[in-house]
Amino acid sequence: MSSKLLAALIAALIAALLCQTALAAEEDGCKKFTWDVTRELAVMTQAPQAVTAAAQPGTDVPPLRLNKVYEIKLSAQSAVTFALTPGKPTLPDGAQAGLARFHTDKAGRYRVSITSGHWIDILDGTQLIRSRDFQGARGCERPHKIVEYELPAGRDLTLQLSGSPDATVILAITPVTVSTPAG
Amino acid sequence: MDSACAVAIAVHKRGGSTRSSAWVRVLALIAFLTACRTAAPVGLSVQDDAHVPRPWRNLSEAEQKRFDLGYAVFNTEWAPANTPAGRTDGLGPLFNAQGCDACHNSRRRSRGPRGTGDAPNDLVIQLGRLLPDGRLERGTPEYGRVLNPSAVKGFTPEASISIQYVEQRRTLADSSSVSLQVPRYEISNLSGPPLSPNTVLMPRMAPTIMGVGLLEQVPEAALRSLAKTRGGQQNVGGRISRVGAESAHGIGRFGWQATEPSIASQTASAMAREMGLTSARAPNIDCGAADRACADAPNGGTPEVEASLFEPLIFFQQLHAVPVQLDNGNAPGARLFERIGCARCHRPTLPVHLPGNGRGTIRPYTDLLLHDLGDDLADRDLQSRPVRSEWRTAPLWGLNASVASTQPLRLLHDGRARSIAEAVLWHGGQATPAREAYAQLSGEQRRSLDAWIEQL
Repeated sequence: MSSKLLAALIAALIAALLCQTALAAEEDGCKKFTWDVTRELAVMTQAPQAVTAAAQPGTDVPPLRLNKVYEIKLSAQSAVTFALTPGKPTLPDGAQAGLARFHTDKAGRYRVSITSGHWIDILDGTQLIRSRDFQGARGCERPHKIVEYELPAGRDLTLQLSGSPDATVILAITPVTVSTPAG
Repeated sequence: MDSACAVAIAVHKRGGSTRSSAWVRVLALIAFLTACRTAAPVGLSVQDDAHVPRPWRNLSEAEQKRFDLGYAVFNTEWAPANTPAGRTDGLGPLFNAQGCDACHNSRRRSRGPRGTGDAPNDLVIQLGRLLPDGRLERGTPEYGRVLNPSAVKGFTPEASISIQYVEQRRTLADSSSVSLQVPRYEISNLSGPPLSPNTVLMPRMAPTIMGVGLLEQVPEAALRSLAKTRGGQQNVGGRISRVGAESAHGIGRFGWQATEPSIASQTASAMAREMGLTSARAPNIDCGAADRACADAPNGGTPEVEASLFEPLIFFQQLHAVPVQLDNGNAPGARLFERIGCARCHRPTLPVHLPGNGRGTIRPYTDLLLHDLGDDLADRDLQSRPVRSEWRTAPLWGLNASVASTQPLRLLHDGRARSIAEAVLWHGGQATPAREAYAQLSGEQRRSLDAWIEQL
């Protein structure tokens, strides 16, 4: 075996070990949620479907399905027209934002899992639905945070993202099927 | 009556002839009625994470724009330097949180720890050293004033922090018992040298920002008078916190130990130490002395938080009202609060001198003075030796906002108390008589008192 080949093999081995260590660290971080987030973590490991969020309300707002993971491309917040002023207004500088929509068949608790710190608004028409609670776990990037809502049945709801510089986010919406202690 | 009305009702202009005084009184009455109708946060839904902030006085159109800008700055998530370059880059390289709101929880007190495990981002661990003479020196050469558990890409967080709670039961006079959580902090994955055994860990929750602007307007003379009178006549001590050089801003009012004299200094310090953001008031971030990587990290401008954003952020906090208080001074809980001695330090009213010679009264339930609350609440070094710790009487107003949020309540400087009862029972030192009187109450009396405090 030539010395060049040996060096390449060693380098590959080290890279593989580092990669594994990083993955293990992230997995550990994701175990630190105090909610039962088994479903959310499982959904977030799926291969994401790419979609582009709308920059204004209207017909081109992309639909999202429950229990699917999406890679959502956002637009500069300064160029986005929101359906409703974000629940937490932020400076537009460098922030990325956008709109999507989803449907709920059943009433109940739902969670939005996301890989960024975007502020998440869910709107029923022009009515803001307040979040119940949220969690994040240091060392877990996918998801970075999970926000929980109590949502009505049979509604087409708007999802608004705002206030974070990440231009692309991985996001999933999941119904909560098990009762979990709030905190 | 809410705080805006409480302020407005007592506001009057000084001086002038009898005739002009009458006109001034009429104008003041109109101002009061206007303030109570339009500026008062009536109907404010504080349980909502996105609840709209209200000012405690009427604002002009220009002031409202400034207030709104400050609110946006408060909510903004800062980005690492040059990603992209602009007004909101410069985070880190070491930090605890990316924005003010991340810890100050919709302007309420922070959510705090939920139990044994990783310390949450909104519980900051400040550092100090216990000196041989028993005094505390804030900060350490290795890690600075705050231990930062997060870092931007390419940098290493200073440490991982976890908490372990041990339950301790306290039996009360009526034979009921309350379980208290004794926290123990574990620091691991240090990025630099080990912490010396005399390192003091000072865990701190983020307090609410509601009403801080009114606390800033309490005249120094009133605090001096309180410190003198109350120390002498009621034997609960209490002293003014003197910070920095003897100057116009020499009285500490903000922070759990009243270490900062103004909202601006408190904000600048927090941004520098907990977010790695420089401002005109705090031109250096909190790198350890030997941490060259931190010191040489790219910055987001000089300063990173430019005055056009910093000043509105301060204005926003100075004008933020306190949520509606259902404070009924004749309620049984209120009378118990007074009777057992809580009100000696958690003073119901304080005077304020407002800009333009206005005077008023606020109901913050604090004396803004420092009190020794005993060893059980004191910060400790790594050898578990308590440091003599004096705490600013925590203002109780706005507590209803945290209760109404439906998130689990976490009280005291480190969030160890999960209820009013636990918080009271942790009090020691100068508050020991009040704590013991509380422990002697019947269950019904305690519930009545706790419920009254929760709606402040």
